[in-house]
Amino acid sequence: MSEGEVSEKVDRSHQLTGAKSDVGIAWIYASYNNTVIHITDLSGAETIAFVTGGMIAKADRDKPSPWAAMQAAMRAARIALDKGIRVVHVKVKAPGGAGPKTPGPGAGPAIRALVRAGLLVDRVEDVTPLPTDSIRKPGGRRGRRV
Amino acid sequence: MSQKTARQIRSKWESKKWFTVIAPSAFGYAELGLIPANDERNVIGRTMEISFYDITKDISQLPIKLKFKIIKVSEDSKAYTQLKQIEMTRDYIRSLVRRGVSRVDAIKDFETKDGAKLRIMCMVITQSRIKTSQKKIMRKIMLDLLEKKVSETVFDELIQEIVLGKLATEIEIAARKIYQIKKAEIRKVKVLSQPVSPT
Repeated sequence: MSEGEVSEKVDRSHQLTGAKSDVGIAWIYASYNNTVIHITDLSGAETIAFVTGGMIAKADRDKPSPWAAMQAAMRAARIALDKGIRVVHVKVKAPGGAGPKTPGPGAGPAIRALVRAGLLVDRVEDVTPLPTDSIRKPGGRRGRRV
Repeated sequence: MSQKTARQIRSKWESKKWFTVIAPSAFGYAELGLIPANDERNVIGRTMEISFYDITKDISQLPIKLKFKIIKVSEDSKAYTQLKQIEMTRDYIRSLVRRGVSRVDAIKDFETKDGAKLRIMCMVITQSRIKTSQKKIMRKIMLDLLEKKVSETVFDELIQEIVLGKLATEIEIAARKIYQIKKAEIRKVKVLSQPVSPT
């Protein structure tokens, strides 16, 4: 709680006038249908970079693939580095709710690609929205009729 | 064409003002970080979640997450905040709960001495599985202790005791009368309403 122990990054930004933060949050939403990489500021309200697997892959079936996730993360990281972000806190998210609670195939490669691209990954956290009770699965009483 | 738009986006980003987010008095007005915005009206109402480790630099406090809400922006672009939520990270809670142990949860709304309403969710992990009757008594002990403690303390003090783990230790000592305790934690605190007197 002592004020003397503020982090290096805050210290550095304090010296410059009109200082900017170099910390952001990288939200990685990995489902079985797509991977979304969204880099924001610390409040999560300002978007810095937003790239999805679907922007990379040509075929729809490749959207959730590890390769597309890697490329998307690379591209997002490049935009973020360009805007002055150096450190990111990664928040990994699966669909959650009634859907799968574990992140899809794109999550791991995306984090690795962020590191490879030169961003400093500070901490990784799972923020899947887990229900404390549960919502009803989609499909209705008679199930999904294809 | 695409180059031009890219430059426009770039200048849009460059033109944003940066605000320093300041923690409330319970955390000694520590700096939490900087956030960009077009206008200071946009900043009010935003929430920011950081780890308690960012303030103290104590590695054991890494799983404690604090959520702050911006309520006021001063002229020198400092954003003042209120505490909104304290939470333990999910992987930390998961690491405590294992097979062959019991987890006793107690959740209730409390009111502090200065009129702040809090929803406290606390949790006790026992050494081995216990009976439901034991769980019930343990839950009662936890809730009684919290009721007594919270009604006697002011908001800022209580928050400090929670984040530093003092309250959890007290619960552990009280619940040990029933069964051996592996760990007691205040899992989550939601601030439902702030204290009446202005801080």
